[in-house]
Amino acid sequence: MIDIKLDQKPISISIRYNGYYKVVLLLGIIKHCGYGKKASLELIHIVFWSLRNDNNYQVLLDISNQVRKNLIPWTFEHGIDEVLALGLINGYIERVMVGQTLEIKITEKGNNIINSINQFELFQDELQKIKNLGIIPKSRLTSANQNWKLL
Amino acid sequence: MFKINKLKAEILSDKSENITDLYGFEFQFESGLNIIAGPNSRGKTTINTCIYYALGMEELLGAHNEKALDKALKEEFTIKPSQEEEGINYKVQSSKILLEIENDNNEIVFLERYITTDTEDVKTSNITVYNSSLSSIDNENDTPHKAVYFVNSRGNNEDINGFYNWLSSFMNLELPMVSNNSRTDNYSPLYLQTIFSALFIEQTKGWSDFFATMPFFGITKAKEKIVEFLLGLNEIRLSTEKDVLNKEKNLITDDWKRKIKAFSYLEKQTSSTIVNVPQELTTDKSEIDKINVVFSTSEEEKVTFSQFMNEKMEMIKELENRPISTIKENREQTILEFTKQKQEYSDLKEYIEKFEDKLRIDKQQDFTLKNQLGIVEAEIKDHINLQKVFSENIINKNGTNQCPTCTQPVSTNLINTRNISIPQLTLDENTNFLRSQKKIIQTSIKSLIETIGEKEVLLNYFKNNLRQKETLIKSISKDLISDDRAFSESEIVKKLQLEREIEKLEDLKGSISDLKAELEALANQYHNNNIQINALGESEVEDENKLSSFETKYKNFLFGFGYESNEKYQITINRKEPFKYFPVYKNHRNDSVPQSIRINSSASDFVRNIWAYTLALLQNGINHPGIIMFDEPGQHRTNLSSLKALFKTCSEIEERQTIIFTSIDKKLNDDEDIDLDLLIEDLESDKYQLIRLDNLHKVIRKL
Repeated sequence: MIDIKLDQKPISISIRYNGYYKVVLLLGIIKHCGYGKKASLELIHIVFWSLRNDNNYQVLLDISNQVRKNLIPWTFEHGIDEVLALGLINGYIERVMVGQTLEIKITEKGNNIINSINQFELFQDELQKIKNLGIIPKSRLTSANQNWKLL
Repeated sequence: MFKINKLKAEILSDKSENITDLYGFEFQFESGLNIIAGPNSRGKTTINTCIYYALGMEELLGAHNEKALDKALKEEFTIKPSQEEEGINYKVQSSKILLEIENDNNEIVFLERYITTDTEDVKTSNITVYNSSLSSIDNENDTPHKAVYFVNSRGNNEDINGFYNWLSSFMNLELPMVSNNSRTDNYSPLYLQTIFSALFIEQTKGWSDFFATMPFFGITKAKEKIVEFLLGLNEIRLSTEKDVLNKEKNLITDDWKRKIKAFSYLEKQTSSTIVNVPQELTTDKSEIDKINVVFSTSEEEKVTFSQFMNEKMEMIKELENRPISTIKENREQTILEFTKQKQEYSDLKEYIEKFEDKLRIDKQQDFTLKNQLGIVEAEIKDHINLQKVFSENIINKNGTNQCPTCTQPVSTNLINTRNISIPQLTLDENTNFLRSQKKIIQTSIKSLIETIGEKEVLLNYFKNNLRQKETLIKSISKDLISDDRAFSESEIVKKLQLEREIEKLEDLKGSISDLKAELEALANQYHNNNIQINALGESEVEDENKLSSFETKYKNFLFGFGYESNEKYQITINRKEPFKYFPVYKNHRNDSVPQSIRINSSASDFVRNIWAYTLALLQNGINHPGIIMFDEPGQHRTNLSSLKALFKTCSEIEERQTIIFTSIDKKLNDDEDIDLDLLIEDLESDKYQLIRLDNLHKVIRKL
């Protein structure tokens, strides 16, 4: 018998599938877009969605600047569960209940990480985009979310 | 040259009571023949891979760092206290390989390479060299000098801290510079890992071809270079220069082709035909002089440049001399001219539309490529950023990724699901991969921009032509509707256009003679390059002597091992391409088409070939590191008498080292088992060293 061995050839995967990359962005989002260093899951998902491409980003930026009042169909971000778990077990974030909803809060440790990343000027393209969005009030997001337009 | 004196593996296990309670193995090796024999799955391959690993040659096994090694050395191993009892499992906490080697000058050093460690400071891609023998290391009075060298990084063959650089100088070998396509400066050393593929024959892939396990590093004709180096042929120096000259030659030829293409653009711009353009590079000046322009005046007739020019001049002169005619005089002709021009106009317009469509596709492609480039560049940036996040220890890569409550692992890569895991490139590998992608995209964009530029020039020309036609048609139609007694406007327009045409013809003449001059310059460069290549001369007589002595040795070994597929006179070491320096089969002595020895030998005879070839290199190679290693030479149902002959031959090469790993009590072919006692019965007892592995125990035991 011929002994056939199959080697698995590793392939190139976008950095978007790297948990640590998303942890960094997550911390940036909570810090810059959340009110009181806290962010709801909805906010986290929608900011991640906006970072996917320039079109999405423009929509959210317009909402943030109160130029538009509606959203286009958007989707949840893949793998956020793992990213949150990674952040939680490393103590970068913690869960808090605000009223009836679960929100994610950045811890001191997480805050330090984002500060050193800024200090080394890493991921500035993405973080600058997140900063430009600024704090998006919950009510504005909810009302936009109830009003979807195709374009 | 060097030889291996001692190999030791040290494992600290989870059941070790203290750090001196170690497991592993230790073997002594001698100059000459060393046989490591044992039944299957007793650890021969473990020992074998440890030697590869300690010498940093695991790339020949197809892996980097500790990945090449078996799990007994890095995860867990079993020890059976006795035949009846169950084996006990031990988990590996840390492990390392120690290898003592000695060179011609009797310098003894030992190499230390970790496999797994519990500290982060020790890297498995480093080898530590101690200037001491293994036995005297415990001597407290004398702390040996040690130095750390890296294995798997750029420059491992050239850098002062590169391991192969150290190893080659320890062996007193100077690695030659050879031409290398993947290096920007065209040269790289003949990497030591490639040379070792001629020395260490691995169990499976190793017997499939000559130097089968050689890793790819972009060295031109790497196998030839290895033989040239090992046998010390002058050719290696000459051929390196030759390769560079050949590369230059290719550049000149490419340049020539580009110039030739320029002629066809000229043709299109002026609707002429350029004849006698030599497609292939020529150094014959008359060939270049023959290049000429002709113009088609009708479907059959062609006129030369000067004729055509004269015709145009004549036409102008005629128009000038003639009193300006009235419309009535050439009404018939004007109508004919009108339909002709109209037809030409619509043809041209259609052509331009198609041409523009194609150009738009090119531009769209350019746009897409630039987009892609943007994405790839952003990815590279993020990869580098993330690497920096780890290297600056902002986030600890090896930190917690386990649930503190239920200890379930949390994946750090988001593409794998619980059931499917996709093998991925590491951050570092992926960065390199993306960089090469970027390079490809950049080259495509560059050539695309060039084509777009050229096409735009052409388009401009076509459009100009169209406008000229428009004006002409307009003036003709004006003639047709105006008063018969008026002067014909179309003739004046015609005259102006003729003058412009003549101007263009002059330009064409200029461009052609410029191009011709450039071709001549290229032909001169080509000629000089050829002279240089010839001046290097063919390989010298000295090389031929070395080769023929090598050939004799190889053939004696081969037929001594019982090679039967062909007659002795049919086998030669080929001196030219193809299979340069490798054995070939020739039907008769003057057969001009040598064939691969592999195809013309039975499977077991090809294995004999590898034995003979490797041994002949060992014995005749003046730059040979002096050691060879065969893992399971009894492949493809070779018979016992051949194996016996192999052992005998190896035991006679006393001044160099041979290490043979062989199974025993296993079927060799339908009739014979590998019987160790039979194999060694003809050997003189002081001419070999036998390491016999236990029937019961595996190789790893308490030290």
